[in-house]
Amino acid sequence: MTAQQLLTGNAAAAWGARLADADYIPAFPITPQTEIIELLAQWSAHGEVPARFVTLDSEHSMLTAAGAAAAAGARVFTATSSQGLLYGCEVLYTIAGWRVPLVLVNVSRALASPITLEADHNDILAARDTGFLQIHAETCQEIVDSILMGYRLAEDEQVMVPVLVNLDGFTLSFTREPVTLPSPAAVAEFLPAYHPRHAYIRGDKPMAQGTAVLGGAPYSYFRYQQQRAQDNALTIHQTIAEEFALRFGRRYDLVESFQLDDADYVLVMSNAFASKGKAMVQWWRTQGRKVGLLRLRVVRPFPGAAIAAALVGRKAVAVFDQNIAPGSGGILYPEIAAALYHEPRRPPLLSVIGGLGGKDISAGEFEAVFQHLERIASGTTVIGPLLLYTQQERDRVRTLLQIAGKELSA
Amino acid sequence: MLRIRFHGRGGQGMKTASRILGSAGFHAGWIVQDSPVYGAERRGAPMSAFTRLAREPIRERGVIASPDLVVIADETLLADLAAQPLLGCDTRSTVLMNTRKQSAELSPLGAVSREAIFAADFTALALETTQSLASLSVALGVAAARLLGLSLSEALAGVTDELSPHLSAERQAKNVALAQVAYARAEGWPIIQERQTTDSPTLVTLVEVAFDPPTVAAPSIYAISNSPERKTGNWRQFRPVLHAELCTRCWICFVRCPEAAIALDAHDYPVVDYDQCKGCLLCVHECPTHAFTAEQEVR
Repeated sequence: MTAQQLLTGNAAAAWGARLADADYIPAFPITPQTEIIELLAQWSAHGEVPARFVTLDSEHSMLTAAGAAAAAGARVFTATSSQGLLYGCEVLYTIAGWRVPLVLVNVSRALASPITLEADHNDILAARDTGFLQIHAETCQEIVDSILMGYRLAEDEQVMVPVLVNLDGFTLSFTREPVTLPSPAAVAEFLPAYHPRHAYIRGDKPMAQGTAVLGGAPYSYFRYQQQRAQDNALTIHQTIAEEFALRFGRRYDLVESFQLDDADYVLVMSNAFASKGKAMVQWWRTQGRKVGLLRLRVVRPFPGAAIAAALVGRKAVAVFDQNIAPGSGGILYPEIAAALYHEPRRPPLLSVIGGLGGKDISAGEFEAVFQHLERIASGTTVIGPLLLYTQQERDRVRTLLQIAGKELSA
Repeated sequence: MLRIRFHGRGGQGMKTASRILGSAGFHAGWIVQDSPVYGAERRGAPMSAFTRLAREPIRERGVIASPDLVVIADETLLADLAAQPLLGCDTRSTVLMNTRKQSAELSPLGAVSREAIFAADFTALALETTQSLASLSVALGVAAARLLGLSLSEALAGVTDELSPHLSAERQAKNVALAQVAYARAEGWPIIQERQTTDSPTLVTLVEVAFDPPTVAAPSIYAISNSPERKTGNWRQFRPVLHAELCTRCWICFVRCPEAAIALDAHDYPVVDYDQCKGCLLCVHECPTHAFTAEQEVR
């Protein structure tokens, strides 16, 4: 067993690429992701990583290069964040359509405007429908492991679509915690060299990729195939998860159940703030309150059946969205509601929006959410979306608005 | 769990201090989490960093609201609304302060008891031993390690982990020497114990978010030209001091000052606005006749 070491989320992501023995790494900097490509650049310059490291002029070019290299049969790694992911978003759809199996890491950072640096998930969820698979990590360990599992999943002939691995800016990217790095030899056994069977452009093997189709039916065929590939990924992921657990002793399912067995009340959370939810669950348990947590890990494909199985029969469920779709509410809430719609024993749902721009979700706010859960369990009709915002925060923001010269009503 | 919050200004090394403490704790067998938080990278601007040491996996993330130990690298942060280093401190919190004052001279620090305030001039220790203010990270990281009951060898292992990838052997040796001095300085201070009970969550009042007109709700700033009200003079660690007898009135400092904190007097000599000067020392480096010197701030 390899010893643990302290690694930031960004370092863990770079190690994921290194252990996966990526062939090609196109790069463009953006806070809070830049450390990933800095570390890979350093390793590449010192010959510690054999990959070809190339800096591009934008995320759009970077992702185009990534897709093109993957179409030539290379194992490709790259990383971005926030505005960068959005700038490259057009290319995400394009290369997912090429069915090339690269891994892209996104370090979540809230979107402008106003501009900020800390995390929420409007960036990664803007890429929700691109055709990429999405794995959302809670810990630095899970980042390394998800990149390795991500390549296995992406390169499986039953799947063959690119993967986005998400980690939160600051709360993971700059946070060190103990990580066990698997040995390169063990990783090589788990993740053998990639031998492309459908995408292998070479001078002596010419082909056309991503060709134009007109008339609708051919287009529909190729789009439906992306849907079927994602369907397959649900099953293939579990096979890979079992093998990963056997080899490395860490088990990652599509969703994670925390203290769910006898839970009356459930919090649904994702990414690094799920840790905070788990800490609250542990506290509530010491107080005799039966609360559990369901963590969304694989978000695309959406594991609706696993989610429904975990949530049916509960007294009440709070779905935390660390994102906001103005005009609708939380982005994940309707997906979870849809997963439960056909279940006769579906629980009452509370939509909660919190943690935008890295705003803390304090223990007091979790308590307030719990009080709402008790209310809806006893028959109160729908509340929400509940926008987490405390009196103290409102007062602080009012001070800032006054400094900015805004005329505030009393 | 032990929760340690570091407060400093960009450039004072408090991110590194939090990592030195984290690595030292890791060598001592603790489960560790450390993380910094800062905005756009600016030397002199307030920043903070967090280290957690625990025996069980750590599920807390981000800011530490109720610290066991607060390490303050710069006394001027006490009055800074953007820093508020004493926020969340209670009667069980300990403060480690870098200051030229004695702990008895420090005015009451929030709810922190007088017996739990430990003060020393770590800046002077750093300058004497390594001739570098950046070494404040080592001095405070190691002193914090001692306050938490870590051994000298564990503290030194933390220093080596953090500095060896970045520093020459000579600089490393100086920093190890500083670590030994700083550790010795903290010996005799009582060791902070883990809290035995978990606090109940402080209840908060959630408020409705009502519609505001765009004159309020758009992220625009109407109060223009108010940046001089944000006095940045206390960002300085060194102040530029003009020696007029060497000045040729070439105005290079006046032109180059990135903060426009240098004006010209009636005789065209530069005058530094010390309320605004952040101490970047560009004037000291640019002056062709070396008419500016850098003097350490006395606070």
